[in-house]
Amino acid sequence: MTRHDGDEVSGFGVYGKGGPVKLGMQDLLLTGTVLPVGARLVVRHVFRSEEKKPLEMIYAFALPRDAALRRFRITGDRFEAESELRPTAKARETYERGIERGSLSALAQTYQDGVTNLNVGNIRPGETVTVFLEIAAGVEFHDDGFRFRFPFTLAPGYHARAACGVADDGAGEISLPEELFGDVVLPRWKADAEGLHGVSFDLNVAAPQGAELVCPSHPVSVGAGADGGLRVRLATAGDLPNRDVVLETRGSAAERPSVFAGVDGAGRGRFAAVVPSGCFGRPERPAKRVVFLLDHSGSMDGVRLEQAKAAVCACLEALRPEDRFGIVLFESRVRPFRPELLPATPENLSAARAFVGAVEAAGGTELAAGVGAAAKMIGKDGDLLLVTDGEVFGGDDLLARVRACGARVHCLGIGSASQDRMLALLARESGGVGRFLGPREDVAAGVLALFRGVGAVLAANVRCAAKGLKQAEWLPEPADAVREGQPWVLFGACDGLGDGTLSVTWDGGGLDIPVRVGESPLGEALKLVQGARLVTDTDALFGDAPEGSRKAQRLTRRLEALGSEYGLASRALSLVSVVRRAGDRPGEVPETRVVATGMPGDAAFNAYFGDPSDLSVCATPMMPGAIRACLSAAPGVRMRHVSADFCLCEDSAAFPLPGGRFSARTARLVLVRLATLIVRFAALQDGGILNRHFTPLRRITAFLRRHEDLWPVGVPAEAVRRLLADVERRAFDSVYRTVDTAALAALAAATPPDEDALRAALARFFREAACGPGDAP
Amino acid sequence: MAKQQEMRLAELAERSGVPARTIRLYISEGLLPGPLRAGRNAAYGPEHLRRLGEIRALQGRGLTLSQARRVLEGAGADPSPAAEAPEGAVWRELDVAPGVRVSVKEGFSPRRMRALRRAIEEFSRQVNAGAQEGSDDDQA
Repeated sequence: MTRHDGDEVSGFGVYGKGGPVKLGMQDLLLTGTVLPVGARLVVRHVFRSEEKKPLEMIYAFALPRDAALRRFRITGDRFEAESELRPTAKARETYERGIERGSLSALAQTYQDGVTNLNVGNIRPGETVTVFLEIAAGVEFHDDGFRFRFPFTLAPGYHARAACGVADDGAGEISLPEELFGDVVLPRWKADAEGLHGVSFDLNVAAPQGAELVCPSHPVSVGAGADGGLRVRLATAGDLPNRDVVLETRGSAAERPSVFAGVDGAGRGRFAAVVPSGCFGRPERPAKRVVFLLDHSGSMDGVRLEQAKAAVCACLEALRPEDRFGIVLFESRVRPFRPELLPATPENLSAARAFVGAVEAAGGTELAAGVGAAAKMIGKDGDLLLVTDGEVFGGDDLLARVRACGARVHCLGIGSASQDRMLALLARESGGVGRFLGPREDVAAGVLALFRGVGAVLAANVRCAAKGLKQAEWLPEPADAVREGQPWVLFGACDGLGDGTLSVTWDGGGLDIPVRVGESPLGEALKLVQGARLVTDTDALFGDAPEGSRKAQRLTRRLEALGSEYGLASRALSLVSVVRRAGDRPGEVPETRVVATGMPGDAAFNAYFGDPSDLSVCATPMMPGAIRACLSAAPGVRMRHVSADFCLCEDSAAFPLPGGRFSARTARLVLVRLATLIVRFAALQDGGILNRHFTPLRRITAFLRRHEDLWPVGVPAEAVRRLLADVERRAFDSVYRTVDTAALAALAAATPPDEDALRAALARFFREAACGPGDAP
Repeated sequence: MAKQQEMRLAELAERSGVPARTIRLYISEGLLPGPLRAGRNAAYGPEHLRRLGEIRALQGRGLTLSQARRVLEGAGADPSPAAEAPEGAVWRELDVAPGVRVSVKEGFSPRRMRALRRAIEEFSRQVNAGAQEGSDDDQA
């Protein structure tokens, strides 16, 4: 019996109907170290040209929160080069000259919203070029741990002036107006797995002693890592670029400050302190005044909107009679529940729940208009709780408006690939707190942890002084208020080594934190994380300042200064490298390709890009009842509500394939899921819908190939293999249509499932499907 | 074409205001013809400059690259497509009821389109309900 591992079977399909799809970028591997205060990452991109002409690849990705590019190394056949950090205009000139000369040229440039284009040009036919890109990034701080998030896909976002549509190859396409966004290139979004590069990760996570580590986004295997950390790897051979990687640690001591310190490469002491909110005393819990701001734009359709509604309802439950609340819905339009704040009486709460329950998804994401209306309702110095997927472009403008309105915006981000960076900035800049939840996470627990911090300030006028540390300074300015559930964080620097104390004081309290700056390599990482945070904060200040304006020039100078101090890129500074190779042919124009990416796993392609086939079906003249029946029965057509097969596909896309260990029950459910999907697809007989939703099936078959021990007992291994191969070739012929899965589905849905009956039903299904119902004994 | 009117990519980028990388992308996407000669002496002519102006104008009207290309392909034979481009847009016709047809211009954002479609569905329901004298079996 042959084992299928290595490259033969992987979690992503790169073979289209007409033979192999030519990928410019083959795969992406995220490596590096994640500390409780930030991460130092190296992303490896492998580019390969299978064209007859030289290739220029553009890979567009989103930076994580508080992140900046540090440098890259580019390697290939007999060459290796390092990037240089240059003012963006100069870097672009260098890149263009390199392209013109026929040399291998690479440029990494960051635009608004942290969207970055990595350009690699003049890759020769058959040549493989690898780019190792180093990134410093921040983490989301919790009282009892931290949360790290890295985007593997750039979620399609909303902008009132964006053009979007479907390209000839069926991929989604968005162009942003050049006068606001420059010449940024966004990826093409593929509805299915075909033609997508593989992604993977292998990280060293410095989880605090005794803390629990969870990965709600991917199956992982965890082992011992470097420096006492944990090595966290993707458990499967590869995955799709359709969601963020999320790692979270929980359960570290929530009552003690943590301090990290060391000396950076230039000999300067660097330290960071994370002080859990519990250190600042007990909360007083004054009456809350809060407006819930719920995003129900088209991109929220499906799992996200359900999660968002559940989040708002959980908060409504948590209100006390003395609290006052309001609700504002927004998409392209803004709609309040009532024009003013209401007391949290049982009648008002019940009406509010009904109001939220009836919300449906549609329209654009006019976040600024929503925030404006909610801020008007609550007044200055009020609290807003924004629940959104944050999928908008144009964060600069939005941040400027939020700063002007004066309300605190607490953000609950929802979605598998959302704009974490923008929402983190939105919360921080307005003095609020923020949290992010993925599609498989418990919304109620997450939002209540966040909601506790809304309104109640544990400590005000927080100040800091240092004793014993030479020339100590802190940057950025730490928060002057502490909220429940959200630690107080400080990044600082001092001259050289030494022991000292940080004296943190606030109205009615104080705390001394000992700091020991010793010879630790942590110093360089702390410096980069601190620098990345400063770069992000400065970058977020551009607002709507026109290019060349005084404000823009001042900020550009500041970014250049930060760049030379910390060695980090920004929108003002880019990374460039040109490698001259023997035989470079000047003047030849390379073929330019944009790397495609996957749709976020919890978002429907149609919610962004629409489906032209919707309209052609509408054109049939019929009676109203018949139209409705016809449309809801037609595969690939989406009306107001989601069809059953779509639910099923989404459902199984979100179905967690376990890592190293799994229960028998999970294993059976994987098989049932596979069986149900096979029959669905066979019954639908529609290539379009199959292509769009093939990903979960492919994931399941790849998983099953690796776990022969899960194959149903009593079915010949050869038959199962044939079945899996059929599915992978998308050969759903009549056999699968006649196999009945109703019994299976009923058994799988029952809790607890009857294991024996389920096993028998599965064995029957696999035997029938693989041999044909007539042959089954 | 006269030699002196020819320009290299950098010059085309400067004169058109479109960055060189974007021009290469347009060529690869089929919006713009390739250079006049292949290889070392690649050069571009006034035709390229004019085309770039047209692409910009179409993008300014909110078209994606693919939509712009479709318009340009449709208007290829037209001697002055820049002025005529709005007429090159594609219209979809939807029969909402016997004898009733709605035309929708292509190029709306999908979200806008969804809202429009909802309105059209509603319209279709009303038109048909009127025609049926209340025998509406449309309870979902």
